[in-house]
Amino acid sequence: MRWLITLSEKEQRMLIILFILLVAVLALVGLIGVGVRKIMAFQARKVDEGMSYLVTTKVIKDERHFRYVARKKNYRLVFAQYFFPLVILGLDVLFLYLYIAISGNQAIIQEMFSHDARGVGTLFFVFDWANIPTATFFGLVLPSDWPPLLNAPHFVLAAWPNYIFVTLASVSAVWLMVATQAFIARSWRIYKKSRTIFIKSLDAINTLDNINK
Amino acid sequence: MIQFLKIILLGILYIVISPLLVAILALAMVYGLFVFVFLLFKSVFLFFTGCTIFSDYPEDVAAKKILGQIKEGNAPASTGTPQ
Repeated sequence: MRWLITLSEKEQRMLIILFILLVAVLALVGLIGVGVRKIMAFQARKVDEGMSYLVTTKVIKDERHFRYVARKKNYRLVFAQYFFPLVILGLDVLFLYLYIAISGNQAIIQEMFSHDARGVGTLFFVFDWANIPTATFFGLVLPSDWPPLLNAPHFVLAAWPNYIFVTLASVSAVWLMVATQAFIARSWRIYKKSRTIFIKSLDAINTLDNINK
Repeated sequence: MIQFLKIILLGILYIVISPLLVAILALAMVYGLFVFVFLLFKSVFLFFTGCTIFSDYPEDVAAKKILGQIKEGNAPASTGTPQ
């Protein structure tokens, strides 16, 4: 504790702010993780929908058969869920290709994410992170202020092809990621359930019950 | 408070294993894309044979048959005297 006493008022305040920020970031990540797990549990229910009646009617009687049929149904769902985002992505690429073919302007690809030309960066705040103001705190060089602003959001009419392309590509990428997450969730549930629902356990058997009957 | 600490510990855990999670997601996406391409070709082939990849499997047909029989067995007799 002795070194804390040597800290100035400003340094102590900074330390407290850093600690609060760290706790907030960790809590946020933890909450996001909990949320993702809940979403995955919801997505995994599709396995139950497709497989429960096959098990209850005893059409499927063992682990290997269960996994075989469940995997095939899982692949079908992957196909169905990947279809629309991949179609959107394909049309998006086609759109950009046609634009370049018609306008003959290939530079738009290099400018895709720029903030000072015809890129999507024009729609966002862009900070100069390379030149962020710093201060030395307890021997560490830490950011002390916001970096200089390079761009404030503004609409550039000439950048419309990049706006459309990046927006659609982002939507399909997120869609694909969610579909992949669902794929993982279902695969994990198939594996877990195949290990437990056909288990032959002595725990559920009470021989006295059979004698009484 | 314990719940909050749990969430913070989970946060640390997720940050530590995040590269692994991203790798699993990427691998699953690549695998899913292979599955998609394979099923796309299969569906095109089945389309020309008059079928679809979404038709019932033999297991589904058998289960539905059993469920139908159970329903019929449980249904009240409809051959009673007319009301």
